[in-house]
Amino acid sequence: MPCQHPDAVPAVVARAPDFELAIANDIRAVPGAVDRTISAAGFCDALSLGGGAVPGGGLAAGSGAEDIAADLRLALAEALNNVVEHGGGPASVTVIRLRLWREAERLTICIEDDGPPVPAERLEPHGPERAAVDFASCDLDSLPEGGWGLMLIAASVDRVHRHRGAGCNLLFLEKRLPETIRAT
Amino acid sequence: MQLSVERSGGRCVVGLPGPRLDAAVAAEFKRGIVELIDTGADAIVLDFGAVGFIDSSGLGAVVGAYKHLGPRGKLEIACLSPAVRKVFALTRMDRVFTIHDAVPAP
Repeated sequence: MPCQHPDAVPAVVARAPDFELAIANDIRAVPGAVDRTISAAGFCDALSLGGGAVPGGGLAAGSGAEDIAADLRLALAEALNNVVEHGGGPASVTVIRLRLWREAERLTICIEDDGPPVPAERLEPHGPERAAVDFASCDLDSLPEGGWGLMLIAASVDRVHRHRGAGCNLLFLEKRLPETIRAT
Repeated sequence: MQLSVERSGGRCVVGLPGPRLDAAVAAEFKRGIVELIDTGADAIVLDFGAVGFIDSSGLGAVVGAYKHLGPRGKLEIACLSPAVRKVFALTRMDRVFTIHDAVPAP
């Protein structure tokens, strides 16, 4: 489980991002935004869902790129879902901005929204820790139907930073790149 | 979301169109499965063969459908891609559902 650094902003933000995208506060905008960001991160070969490689990418199959791309896809989708579904709607969050920085040894993604501060109780990761659910008892009613988002983000990236900026929420996701796929 | 439904014996094999079961389609997916259950299906296999990505909303819809089916019904999962299987494992839903590598013979 990566550390949470509530007030730290990664040093890389001092330079201009390698990719930027602004999307509407609409759940239907999320999959395309995730695809574009992962593609911009350099994961063309590993991008396609459900098998077959997309030609033209620089990262070889079997190098671990598929796993990194899958982890980023999940973390980014969950983070964007959280903003869209819990940010108070389009009246509260008018725009969501994505920024990506590529470095040799890591990728940093920032998700920024212009909504009010995220309430502390929403930042408690759920998941297996919470789920003192006795699966063996087959008690259907006790099964969770969600609340896994923060746990999945934490499990998919190496560091999660949250920061309250001037009128905006910043969520930084950092993913280390193994030497085998350091393409840049 | 166009679900393909194949009935054989007392069982429904439901093919998800893919490539994603995510927040954008989760509610629609759940409605489709709930409708199947309400029209009599009580043994369902979800074929994830075309699905390369699931998020917590998509997984929540699967769990919600399972709850709607109730304890007397059977909802099983087949053909998970590595990325989808990982989400089932991280959330421990792989302990809740029977997961097959291929759609089991009826």
